[in-house]
Amino acid sequence: MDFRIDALLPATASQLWAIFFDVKRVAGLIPGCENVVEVEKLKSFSATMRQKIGPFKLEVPTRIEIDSYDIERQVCLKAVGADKATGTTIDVRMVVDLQEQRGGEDALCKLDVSAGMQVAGRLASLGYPIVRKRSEQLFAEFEARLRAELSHLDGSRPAEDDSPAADDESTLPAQAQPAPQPGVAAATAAGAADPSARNAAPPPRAAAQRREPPPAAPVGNAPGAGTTELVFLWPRLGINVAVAVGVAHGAVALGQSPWWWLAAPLLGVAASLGRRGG
Amino acid sequence: MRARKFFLHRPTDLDEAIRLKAEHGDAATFHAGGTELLVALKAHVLHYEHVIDLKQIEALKGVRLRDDGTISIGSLSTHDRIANDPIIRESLPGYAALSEHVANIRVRIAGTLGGVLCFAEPHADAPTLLCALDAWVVLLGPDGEREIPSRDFHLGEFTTARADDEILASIEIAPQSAGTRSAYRSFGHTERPAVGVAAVWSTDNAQRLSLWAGAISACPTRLSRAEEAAAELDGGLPAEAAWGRLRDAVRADAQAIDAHDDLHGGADYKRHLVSVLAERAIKACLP
Amino acid sequence: MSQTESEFPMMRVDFKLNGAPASVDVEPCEMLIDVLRDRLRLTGTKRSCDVQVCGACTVLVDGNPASSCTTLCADAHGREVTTIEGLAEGKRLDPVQRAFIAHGALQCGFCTPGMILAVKAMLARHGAPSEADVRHYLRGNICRCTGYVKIIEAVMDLIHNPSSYQ
Repeated sequence: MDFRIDALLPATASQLWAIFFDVKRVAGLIPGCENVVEVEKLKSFSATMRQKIGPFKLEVPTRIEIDSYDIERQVCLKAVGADKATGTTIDVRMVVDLQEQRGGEDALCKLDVSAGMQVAGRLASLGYPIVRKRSEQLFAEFEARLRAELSHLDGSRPAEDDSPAADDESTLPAQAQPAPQPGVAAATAAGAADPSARNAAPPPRAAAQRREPPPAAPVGNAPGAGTTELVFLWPRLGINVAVAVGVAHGAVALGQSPWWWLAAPLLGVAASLGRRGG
Repeated sequence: MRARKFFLHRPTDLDEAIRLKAEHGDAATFHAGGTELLVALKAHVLHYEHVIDLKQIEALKGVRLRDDGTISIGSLSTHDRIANDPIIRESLPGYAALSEHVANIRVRIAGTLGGVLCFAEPHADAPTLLCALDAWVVLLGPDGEREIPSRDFHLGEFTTARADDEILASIEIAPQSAGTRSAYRSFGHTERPAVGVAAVWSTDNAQRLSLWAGAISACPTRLSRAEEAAAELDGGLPAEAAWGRLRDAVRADAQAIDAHDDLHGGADYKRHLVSVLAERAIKACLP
Repeated sequence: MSQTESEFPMMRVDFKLNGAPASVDVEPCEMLIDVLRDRLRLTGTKRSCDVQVCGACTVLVDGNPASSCTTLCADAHGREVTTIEGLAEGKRLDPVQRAFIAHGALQCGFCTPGMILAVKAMLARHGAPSEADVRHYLRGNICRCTGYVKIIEAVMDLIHNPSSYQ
């Protein structure tokens, strides 16, 4: 199964990194993802995906490896996992391209993800329709958790914009709703320029929860948290990966492993694939 | 592959079966026809060290008519038994016909109604009609007995309201009024239905139509717009005219169903099938 | 908690096999097809899909078709099992077998034991099924070679002209 994501995120490449934090916290957003461990700095991570549908249990130890990278531009990685009990295997190859857009008033970074997935094994063949459906549900859950996470980050509103009232959660964009059919494009990133479409970031209370202060990236220029308006071909996975990429950039900037941002989307993919066996 | 080893228990009464399950907990499972369990055990996608065979328990067998006319189907009743049972054929011919067309003869001989309901694979026939008939299930567990309507029993894929330590004892269907007809139509290119629609039409009931679609989503789904439209209809309309008044409501219901592309068909195709099968099922109920 | 493999006891299964008493000690997890083919050397029953869909493994249990690949041998306890080997009496073939041969209703022969047993069970239950009934009953027995035409012809001929095959 192949998929593509083509998204414009309202941030600079390095700002995306600055927004988010903690590796463990990112993993916590992926339903079923546990025991995230950096195995080799800048190179590989391990995690365990656990899922349950009725009586069927799945436990997929996953290994994520960075094959190659070009700093702040591209990374090629793979995620491989196998669940011994059910004989389910997952194999993902992914190329992520970042391209910061110059020459506009607002920060924009183009995100391009191209991935191929293989899921094999008895549980996947016996229960493919349900496995696929559960994947979509997982993505939606990840998306919801991530959005909630982003909406708690502070100071991400551009100072000059006439953004909506800070506490008004009701301005959460409607495009947060998962599209029922694959292939339906979400609101385009052009919407990102419209302040009323942005997530209103709540007041700085979240900052107190952070373990480290954000780096010296200018807070005033950062876009509304959670305004991840994406154009994608495979909605569930697309949102999942793109946002995970953003999250991971943030984690990196805060002194965690620099290459977490490569691993996180893979974990997001692996989470959905882990679903496949469930 | 070969199934991994287990203890096979053969309790002869319900208390013993419930006790065994309580004793072994998650390591134990109930076994009836084995049409789902044994496939999963052989494929090693499930594993239990204790298999509790219920087939010796007489209380779970048989189809009988209670004093108030309620049809009580023992959970160990096979599809073949139900299809050929005189009580079912007399009172619920639509359900007898459904049972006659489940999968293939070997599955009908071995597979039980209790097993279909408890395993809760969405692509099944019986749950849809049982919901339309307002059937309910009787569950027995360490804490006693309880009853749950079919529509509340099915919670999702492989998920029901039955607690792990409970046994589904019987399926109960209220006596049908003289003016009630029921029918089920399904379609699938494998042995399991892609979509099934069950219609229960009463000429002597103000509510008139109970219409449910199954297999297309995680659990059977009521087609409520169609039911509301049917309540507005004059009595005695011939089949074609009745359908003409219900068609748009059925289509609206079908469009609202959360369907997914899968090996049974595309989501749009399955929603389309809902309308096609609803027409056939409704017309089969009408003169 | 978890048992070691050696702690799962065997079970004695007593049943009737092709009319004669049979008794085997089996693991509870053994399927009927394993016992028939591997222990009892009755290899007429074929394993094909192993998920009870194709019907090649069909045997009769108390006269009804069963997928022996997905039936616990233990569940045959106290019952009567009939395999394809149980049809002929020495050299004298069963009428169903003779009808199949007369009509060329088999090519590779792999589905044939299951198919014949299913026909046998059907005829024991339905005296004079229509062609639609026959197709319905045999729906779960899949043949890759013949396209089913000769099989249906053989069965219909047997139904309409039973004396030809006595």
